[in-house]
Amino acid sequence: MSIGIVENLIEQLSKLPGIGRKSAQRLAFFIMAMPDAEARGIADAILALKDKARFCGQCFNICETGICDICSDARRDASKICVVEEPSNLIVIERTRSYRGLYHVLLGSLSPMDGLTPERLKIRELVTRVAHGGTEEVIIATNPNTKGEATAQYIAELLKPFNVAVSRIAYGLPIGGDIEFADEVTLAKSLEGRRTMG
Amino acid sequence: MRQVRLDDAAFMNQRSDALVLKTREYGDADLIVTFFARELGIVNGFAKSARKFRSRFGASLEPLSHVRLTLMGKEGAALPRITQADIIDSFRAIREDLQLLLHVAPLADFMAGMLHEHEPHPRRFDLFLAALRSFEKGAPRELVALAFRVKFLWMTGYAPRTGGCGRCGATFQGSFALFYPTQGTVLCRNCAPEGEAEAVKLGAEAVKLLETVKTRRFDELAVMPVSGEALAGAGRVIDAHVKRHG
Repeated sequence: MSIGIVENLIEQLSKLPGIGRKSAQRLAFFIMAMPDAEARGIADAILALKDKARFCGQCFNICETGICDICSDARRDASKICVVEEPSNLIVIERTRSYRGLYHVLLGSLSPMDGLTPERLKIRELVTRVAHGGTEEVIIATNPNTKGEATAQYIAELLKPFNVAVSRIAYGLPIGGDIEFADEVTLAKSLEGRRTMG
Repeated sequence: MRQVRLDDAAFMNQRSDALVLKTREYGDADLIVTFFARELGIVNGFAKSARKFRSRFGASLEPLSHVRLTLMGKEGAALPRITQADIIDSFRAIREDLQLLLHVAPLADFMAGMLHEHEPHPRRFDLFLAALRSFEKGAPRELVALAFRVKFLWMTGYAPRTGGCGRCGATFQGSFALFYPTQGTVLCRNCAPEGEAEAVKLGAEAVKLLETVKTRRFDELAVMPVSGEALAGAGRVIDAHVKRHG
């Protein structure tokens, strides 16, 4: 066996985010020790993703056809659009099973500290979707950080001329934690967003 | 028994008040954060798992946060670990107002571009902090932004000369002055180089404004009446000067 094959795999794996040379080396030797079928399974999954995966023509979620399963599902509430930064955010919200509307994936967020570049994102496509009508509420579920907040404000401003409700997901404390460990900003936000009980 | 390595002493906690300038995502949940630290200057730090909801850093590493920072690493290390960042002032009011944030962000960029890493500049740190407090209190944005840039350039010794002719010292007379970015100064008609097309025309009020903001505190500026024309003119001079010499 030529060591060049292993070296090549280490080099390829270390191109992945968060994978340094040491981790890549560990993974390469792990793959070498794997049963053939499992190793081929990984390789085939990567190739299939690159061959077949594309962005949904409507919401920019990842799909295999022109329109994703969510957008083509007639049982979903088409009057609501939940705006997220990345397809991975959509997956997490879907896992909650408490939202039955549609999505719009921006494929990133605005970075005000580096200058706004909204043309990089799918914001114009969102506005076009809303302008076509049929949307009653746009729920902005961008990350609760400076970039996500800037993106939310920017979108809310753009959607003002349309007759739609624009809402932002709530800020607050993570469930299961102790208040004494919360930072001032999170705690202040959760106090501002408090709800009446009963 | 643990062996003491010779270089153990070089590992240390470094503490300073700091302002978060920028963050960059790294790996699955980590952040690389650029600070302007009062006692350490511009420094980058590595925040392990900072993007997780249960991260101990919470909102302390959001841009413009004023924090009490603790870094762990070798002195002068390129990327020490951030072990603690306690919020002193979050400057939420700035961060949560997109238009205001878009005013402030270029100032952070301007400042970072004029400073070298690991060179402490406590006075410039205090100046930026004072500007942020002024923005948060609702002082006129354009005026505070201009004053910050002028004061900062003045502190670094790069301020443009606008009080009089930079060559012969003649005081400003007339309704306008001409600022020459290549020379970094206003020049009178006698001293102005012939055929220089790059001069920026500056009205009398703008000339006065550029001189006044150097010495006035931000809270004093908030009540100063300034025309939009003077602000724009003064801003053009600073832009041209920084573009040429920054």
